[in-house]
Amino acid sequence: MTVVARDQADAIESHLDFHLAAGVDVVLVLDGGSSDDTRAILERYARHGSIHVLPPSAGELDEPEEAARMAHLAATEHGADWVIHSEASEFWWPLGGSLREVLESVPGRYGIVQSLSRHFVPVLGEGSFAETMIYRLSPQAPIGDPTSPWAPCRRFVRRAAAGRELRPLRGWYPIETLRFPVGPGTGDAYGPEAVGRALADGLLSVDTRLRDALRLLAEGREALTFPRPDAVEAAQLALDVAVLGEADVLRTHGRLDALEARLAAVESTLPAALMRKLRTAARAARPRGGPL
Amino acid sequence: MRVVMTLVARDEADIVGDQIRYHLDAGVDFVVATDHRSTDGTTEILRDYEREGRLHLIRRGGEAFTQSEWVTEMARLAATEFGADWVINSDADEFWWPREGRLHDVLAAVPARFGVIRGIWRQFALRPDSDEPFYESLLVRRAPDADARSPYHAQVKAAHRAAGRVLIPEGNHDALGERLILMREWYPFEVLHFPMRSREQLERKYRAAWAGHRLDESLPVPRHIEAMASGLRTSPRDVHEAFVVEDAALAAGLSDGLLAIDTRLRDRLRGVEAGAQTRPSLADDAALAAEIDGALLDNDAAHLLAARVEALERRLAAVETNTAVPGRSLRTLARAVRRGGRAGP
Repeated sequence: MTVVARDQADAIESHLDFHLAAGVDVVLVLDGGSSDDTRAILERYARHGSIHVLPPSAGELDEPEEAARMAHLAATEHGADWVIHSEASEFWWPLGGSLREVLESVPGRYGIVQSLSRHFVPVLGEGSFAETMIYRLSPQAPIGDPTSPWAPCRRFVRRAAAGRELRPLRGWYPIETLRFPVGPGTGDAYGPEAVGRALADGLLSVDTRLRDALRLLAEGREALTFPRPDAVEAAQLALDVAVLGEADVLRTHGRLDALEARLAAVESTLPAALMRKLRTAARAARPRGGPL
Repeated sequence: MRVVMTLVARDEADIVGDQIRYHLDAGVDFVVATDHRSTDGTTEILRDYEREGRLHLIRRGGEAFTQSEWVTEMARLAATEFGADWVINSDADEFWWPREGRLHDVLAAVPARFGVIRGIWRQFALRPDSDEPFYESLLVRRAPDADARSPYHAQVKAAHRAAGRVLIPEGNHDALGERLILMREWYPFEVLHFPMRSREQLERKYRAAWAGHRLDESLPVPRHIEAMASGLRTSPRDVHEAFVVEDAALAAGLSDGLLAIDTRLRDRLRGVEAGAQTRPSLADDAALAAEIDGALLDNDAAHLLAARVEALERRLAAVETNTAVPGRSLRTLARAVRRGGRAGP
């Protein structure tokens, strides 16, 4: 697993404990210039040998570039077969086995596995984020704004195979990515009344999986178990995946809008550019010294 | 909850009794069956179940095979006469295998606003002829073909909430009607499919199916039936050899992942308790997902649309970045005009 962390002292410890107990073998963490305790926590885990802390490259942090660098390192230096690039506030929850077991089951011709994102909402209250944020947004409708933090979306796990084109295994979501709004700029928190209304309306549902898993780890459990969804849970998961499909259609509409705008720009500039080039070509074709 | 299965059979005595036995054991409460001109003992098997009060038998005498009309009638009867809550429209060579729990568990899990769910065919390959029951000898499952002309093409089958005005289109792949909303993205059933079971049976089946479909002038003959019948007219032996999996081919197919040994139906029909069987493993799930990905999603409307948008984006980007091309072309033209002018009179 590769992680870029920045000022996430409230989540990074849980993040590392959870994934190391969920089937991740190696965690590479890049501290993106934290000013809170993140760096000290990472160094403590590194001293125990659980993780490897990487310095950022020189210059401004370019997360996609750093993610690619870490994925390469994971494959070449740490023998990774699969790489999960995660945020410190994300928890990758496998369905029916550990992360290692899920990824080992993927047929060799596929190189990308999809994960369904689950959005937890900020909640007023005392205690750690995992103890208080136990309310998950129900993806009952696609959200048209792709920049919304609640937009239905998928995440990906990739084989560590640099230079090889990776084929996604579509239609299968054996992992859920539980996403928690921790860190700066997480928006307005839900109070008890708002939570009650949203639960009654079906906009939120209670999901204590991470809280319970972290409690087990705090009690000394070393490895976590991940049960297979039963028929009711599988049906609900399918409904949520269907919402993702509807959101994809909305995104496709957005891409078509962008294509139309780009095409209009080409249409409006091409005739003028063509006329300029025709005049230039006509001058070039004129016999030396002859009339234009 | 009451589940009724509909069934159309023609000369399927080697499988139809086990098919009904399996489904009654799995949770189907009643069967409505149409017997189409059977002469091989199928009728007697169906009558036995009718005498037990587990089946309603309809007999069809004409040669034409009007599947949609017959299945629609049976599905409506299931709703109006036999008290069904859910209807499974099946063929005699199909076994609906719930992936989680028992059949009732799956149907009970469907949210109320949805009325149709789908199963996906899992194709079992033809093996060398044997005297054993089909479920003892046909233990090799094969990957589906994307080509609709193959009898092993990828396909879905639909089960639906009972409705007195339901319409079942040809092939039982859908169910249409008021409030029969399809629950996409979920395949809670595998439909174990044994379309070819012996050389004699395959020849008889596809010849009769082709003749029956030809007489239904409302629809074209399905492509896989047309292709099989055409092959049988040319060389029945070649058709059989093209599909039978001999032991040498089995070993190769197992090693390259195109074939798999699947004893689930055999074990169930031998009497192994449903609850004693293990749940699907992650590898089973991944293999099924790969079949769905390879055979079904390539034709999915949303995926096709996204692929076309991607292609358009690439083309437009090429136009945007190659605005120098017209200029280069025109400069080339200018050079050619100049050369032509010098060479002219």
